[in-house]
Amino acid sequence: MRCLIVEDDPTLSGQLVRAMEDAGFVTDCASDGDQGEYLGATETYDVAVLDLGLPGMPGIAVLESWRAAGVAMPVLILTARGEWADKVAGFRAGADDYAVKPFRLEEVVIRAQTLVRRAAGHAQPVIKAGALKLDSQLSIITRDGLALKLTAFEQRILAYLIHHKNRVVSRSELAEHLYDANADRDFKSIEVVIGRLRKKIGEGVIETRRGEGYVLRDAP
Amino acid sequence: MIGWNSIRGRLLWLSALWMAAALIAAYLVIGNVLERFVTARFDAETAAISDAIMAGTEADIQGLAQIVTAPDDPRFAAPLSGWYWQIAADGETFAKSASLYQSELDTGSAPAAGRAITGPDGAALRLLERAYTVPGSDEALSVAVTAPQSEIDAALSVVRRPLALTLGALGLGLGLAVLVQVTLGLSALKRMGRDLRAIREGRSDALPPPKASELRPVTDEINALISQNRSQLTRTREQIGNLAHSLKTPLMALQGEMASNDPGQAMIERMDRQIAWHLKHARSAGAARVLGQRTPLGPVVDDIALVLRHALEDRDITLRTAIPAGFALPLEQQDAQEMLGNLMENAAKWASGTIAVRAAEADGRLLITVADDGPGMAEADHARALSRGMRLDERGPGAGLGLAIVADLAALNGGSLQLANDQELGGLAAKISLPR
Repeated sequence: MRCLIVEDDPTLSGQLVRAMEDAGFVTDCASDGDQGEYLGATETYDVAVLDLGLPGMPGIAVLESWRAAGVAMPVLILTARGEWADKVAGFRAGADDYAVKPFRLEEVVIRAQTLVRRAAGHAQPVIKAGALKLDSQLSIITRDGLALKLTAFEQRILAYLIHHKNRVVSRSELAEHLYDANADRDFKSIEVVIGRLRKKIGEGVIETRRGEGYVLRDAP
Repeated sequence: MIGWNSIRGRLLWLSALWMAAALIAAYLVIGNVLERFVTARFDAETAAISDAIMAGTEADIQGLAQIVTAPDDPRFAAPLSGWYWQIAADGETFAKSASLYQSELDTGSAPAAGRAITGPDGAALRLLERAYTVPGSDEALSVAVTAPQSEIDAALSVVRRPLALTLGALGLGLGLAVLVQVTLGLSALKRMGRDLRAIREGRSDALPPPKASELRPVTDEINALISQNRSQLTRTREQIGNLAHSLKTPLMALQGEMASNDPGQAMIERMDRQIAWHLKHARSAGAARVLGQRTPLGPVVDDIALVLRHALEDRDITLRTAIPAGFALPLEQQDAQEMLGNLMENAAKWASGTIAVRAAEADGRLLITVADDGPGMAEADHARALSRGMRLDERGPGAGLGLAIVADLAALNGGSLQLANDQELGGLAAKISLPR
């Protein structure tokens, strides 16, 4: 899962990056409104954490600009004031959730995970694909109740596929949600990791559609 | 009684005084002209009679003047009619009208035209006296003719009465015109008063441009004052917001740097709550009230529901609203959002399936109730929950200042917040009462 963090305070930004990456997100950072607006509008993210008090373009304007451009990713806004007028303005501009400073980092992570899950159409924190279960808050994937031992990259791919189960996910879509903006996108390694995942969770769960991508079916 | 202290009173009194003075002067001047006209007519008549008498006087063979043809006007025959004539030769009266009967006119010394004298019966007379001579006689003759002053006065009063009535009617008409003029002229001020009240009551946010151009500078100044007041408040809010941001972000970073079991975390939490309390208090109490604010309740509730929608969906809570169409609060939108936001968030936190927002108007006050079907609160805790900074629910999310802030905002806007147990849903009901 890719996450965009737009926060001008370097310390807080660093803490958010660490917390999100610990939870399995790939993060990109922007330290002002203009840069954040550009990244959000041009890259593909699963969730954005947006501070409203930004130098340059104000947070609300960034959000409005994204929504006007048709960017549909869930957005969590951070506000220092905690006034309802700010929250209302944020939600009117298209925010999905808010956190009032100071917040616990874990709370922001859980909220971001909830937003990602909701955006994929799952109401419950645990997403089931047959015998496979993804606990989106704890970032644990189990098969028949047993936790799978996965590398971070494997975890990211499988979590994305479980979020979007029964739907063809193209390799380029997968790559967009796995790598940060500066990384080289390598389709070959995705294929290798898919192969390793098949061994860990069993054959027949992840199908390959030639020329289209992958589909994850409910595991028997 | 219209007093001197009102513009209307002053205008009316002044114009009444001016009009009275002008009308009285007009009456005196016109009356004088008429009087001269009427007396001139009488003088002309006595002059004509004296001409006839002079023409009827001849000298006899001794050279003594004789009246040959006396005027045969019946007025000179009726005794003491006031119409008299009398001829004197060298001061000796030798002929007079029958109306003088036994007496004589005392014409005084010098001959004069239009002199007032007293008749034999004491009545006022107007005298015309002329000196003349007749051919064949060297006597100095004088003829005196009088007309009764009472007849002159009667003739005068016949023209003076309609004059007085006409001037009176004119005065009345002018008075009415002034009254209408003053009332119309001042109605613009009255209208401005009504417009100002509409602003204070929040039904309007600026004075409409006045029809009277003289009032335009005044309304422009008032509108400028209102908008200055508004922008000052906005600036204050922005500065408070910036202060919050500049304090909270480093605090936040500090919290992130510490381990979650560090004892410093509790200190940070306390600092945060203190900052929040003082900021919110400064915001609600320090800011000057903006005149003329009215915020429709429906959209505010919709906005808060938008912010709370995930919280409501996740816990399957239904929001029921009973708000009359067009129901508006005499508050700024920010204050309305702050009050409803805090109350609805609180209700959503405790509700087990339903929260309700109801609005009604009773006894000239607006009542807004936010209720839930949660566990409610013991009666004894109701007052304690509203006290400043009190937090009955230390575990739940939120700053815990919510209710106190709502109570503060309600009080600041001339209203109050009360807690009760909701009759319908059984949980807590927060009731805001505000003036209309």
